[in-house]
Amino acid sequence: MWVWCVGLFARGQLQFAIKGIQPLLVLDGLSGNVVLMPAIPPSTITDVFGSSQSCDCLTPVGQPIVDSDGSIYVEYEVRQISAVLGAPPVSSILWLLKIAPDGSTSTTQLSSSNNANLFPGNLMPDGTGGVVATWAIAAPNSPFPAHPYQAAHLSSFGGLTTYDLPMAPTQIVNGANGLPINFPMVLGENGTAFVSYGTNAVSFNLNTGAVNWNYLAAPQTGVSIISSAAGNALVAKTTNSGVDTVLRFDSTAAGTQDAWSASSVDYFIGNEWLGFPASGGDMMAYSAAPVDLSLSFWFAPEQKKTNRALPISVVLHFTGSKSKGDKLKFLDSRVECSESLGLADCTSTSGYWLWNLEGNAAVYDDAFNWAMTVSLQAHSKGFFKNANNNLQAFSCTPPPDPNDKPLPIFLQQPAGQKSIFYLDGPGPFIGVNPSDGCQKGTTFIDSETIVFNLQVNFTNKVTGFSRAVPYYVKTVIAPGHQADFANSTAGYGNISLNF
Amino acid sequence: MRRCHWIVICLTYGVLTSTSAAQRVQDIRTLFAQLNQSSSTDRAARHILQAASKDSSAREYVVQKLPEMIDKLETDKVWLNAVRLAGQLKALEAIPSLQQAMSRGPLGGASYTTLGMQMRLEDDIVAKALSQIGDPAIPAIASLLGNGDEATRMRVVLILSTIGSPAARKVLRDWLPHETDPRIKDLIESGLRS
Repeated sequence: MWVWCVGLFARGQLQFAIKGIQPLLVLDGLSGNVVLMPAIPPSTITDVFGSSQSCDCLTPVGQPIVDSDGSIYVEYEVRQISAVLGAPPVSSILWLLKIAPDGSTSTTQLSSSNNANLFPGNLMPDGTGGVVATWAIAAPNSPFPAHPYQAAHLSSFGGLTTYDLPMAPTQIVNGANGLPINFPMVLGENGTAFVSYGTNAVSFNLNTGAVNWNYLAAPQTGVSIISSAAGNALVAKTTNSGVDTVLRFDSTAAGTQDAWSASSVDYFIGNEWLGFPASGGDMMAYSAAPVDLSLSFWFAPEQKKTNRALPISVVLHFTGSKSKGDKLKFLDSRVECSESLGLADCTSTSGYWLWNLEGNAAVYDDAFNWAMTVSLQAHSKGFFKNANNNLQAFSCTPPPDPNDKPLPIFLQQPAGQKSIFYLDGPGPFIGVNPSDGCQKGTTFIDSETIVFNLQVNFTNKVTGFSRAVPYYVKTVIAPGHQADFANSTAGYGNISLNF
Repeated sequence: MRRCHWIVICLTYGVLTSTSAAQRVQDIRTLFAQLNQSSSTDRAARHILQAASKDSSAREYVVQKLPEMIDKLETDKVWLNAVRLAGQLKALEAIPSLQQAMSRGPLGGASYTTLGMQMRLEDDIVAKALSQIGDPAIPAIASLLGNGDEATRMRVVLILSTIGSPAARKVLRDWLPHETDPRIKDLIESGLRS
């Protein structure tokens, strides 16, 4: 018996959809109480004597998923199995069941067959209220289908487009349980999706199934998806004899390979990766280049094992240019001197070195439904020159500031839209108060290192769902009060303030 | 006998009360002297704030003295503490001095910044003090709009936005058509939206 579960927030409650003894249960995740028990139609088996029995236990039910709005999707196959001589051994209809957050249900027929099983495959939200469904055509006898792996895009408007799952194996690949393997999918941006089959990884248009690119792994090597990334890039890994190596593809399939390897590699946050040493031993955190996360609601396979789409996706941009659609202006601040992201030397105009950064969130509902806060912890240390031109140390550890939220002029959150932008520009002042390193002063600093650990929190005012994303900015001022662009950094996660 | 006891108690209370009042005056004078010393000014500022919040006469003594301190040209620790106290004690008496001090530019505050801190005037203690005083400071602040340069007008808009009262918003609304700097116009419009 398979038992699968997913968690979700719906109307403020954590709920689970479980396939277990009953074909499908929806539970309240906090109390464990059954919220819904959607009916799954029975399938029928007929023996050689023509005797039939029907049971929902004969209806294969796929892995349920939960979309950003709390809707649950699940595939099931209603089938007629017959051992009667001359009768088709199996005929089937594949259905997609949607359970809306209010508990109402609706079904869509995805496919039908009079000579094969249509085993439910993986599901994935399309990011705009629709869903991508996959399945496998498993015919017991020839003729076998040329494209046994199929997919369909069901749009939020109800339109259904069916296509061959692109570049999929042409023969069914069964797992240890004897059933077809389901291949992991992740969502990119603007209608792009990715799927990996073990031997190859594919970028495709989820509306049509058209292939953008196909990466074929070397012989004896497997490839699997880790995460989609910004700009329709993909981070995957190749596996050879149990050892994983990270591969990073841009939107055109141009790839680079990381220089490090480990087993069971997965991405955590910032520059932290998790894995096991290839030589054996306990799980370790590895430091490697971060993943530039996308604004996808389903960026990792099985959405990081939760099978629940994010209601909000948050990315931070630390360098380069502001995003298209961001109408905010750094220069609306009286101390800013640049509209570019990254470290800016504004000491000649305002006395500050500022690291300009942009936060961008995509929400499934309405930007106006989300409340935002930013918390800040900082630590700095450095040297200034006293009246005798001798270096003297200073440091500052101010109390944590739980409410460093940008005021509305640096926050773009219009009602009716699904995108939120904010700007920030943390950085040190050129002068310090010699008797209090936390206070601005007229004594020029000679050198300084300052770390800002920040965390942005978005909370949905309707459902209560909350998502926090920590990030940091480290600004290094080299002796002679010169900005050290090479050693100043910013990224996801928080770093140590103990320096 | 009982009446005699009451007389003793009342006399004792009167003596103690007058003694403690005199002591408090002496204490605040001592603290104020320490406020003017570079070595003791930070500690004294904290104690003055505590004392003034409990004792109106102590507050009165301090707020009368603050303008003279703020008018001094040297912008040292003592001066910074005087400005801070003027805001924290909502010293109406200090408004003209703070208005004058606006011409010195943004001073004091944390040795680092964020956009949020700037908008809350955490890096500009004179502007912060005026915003803490609130509505009574609005006429003095508003007068800077017509005469100030862009940097000053931006600070004034931030002060008024931070005050956020109906009177402050009215000044922003009235000034908006006259503002020529697009950055400051953005700031006013944003302040009026929030």
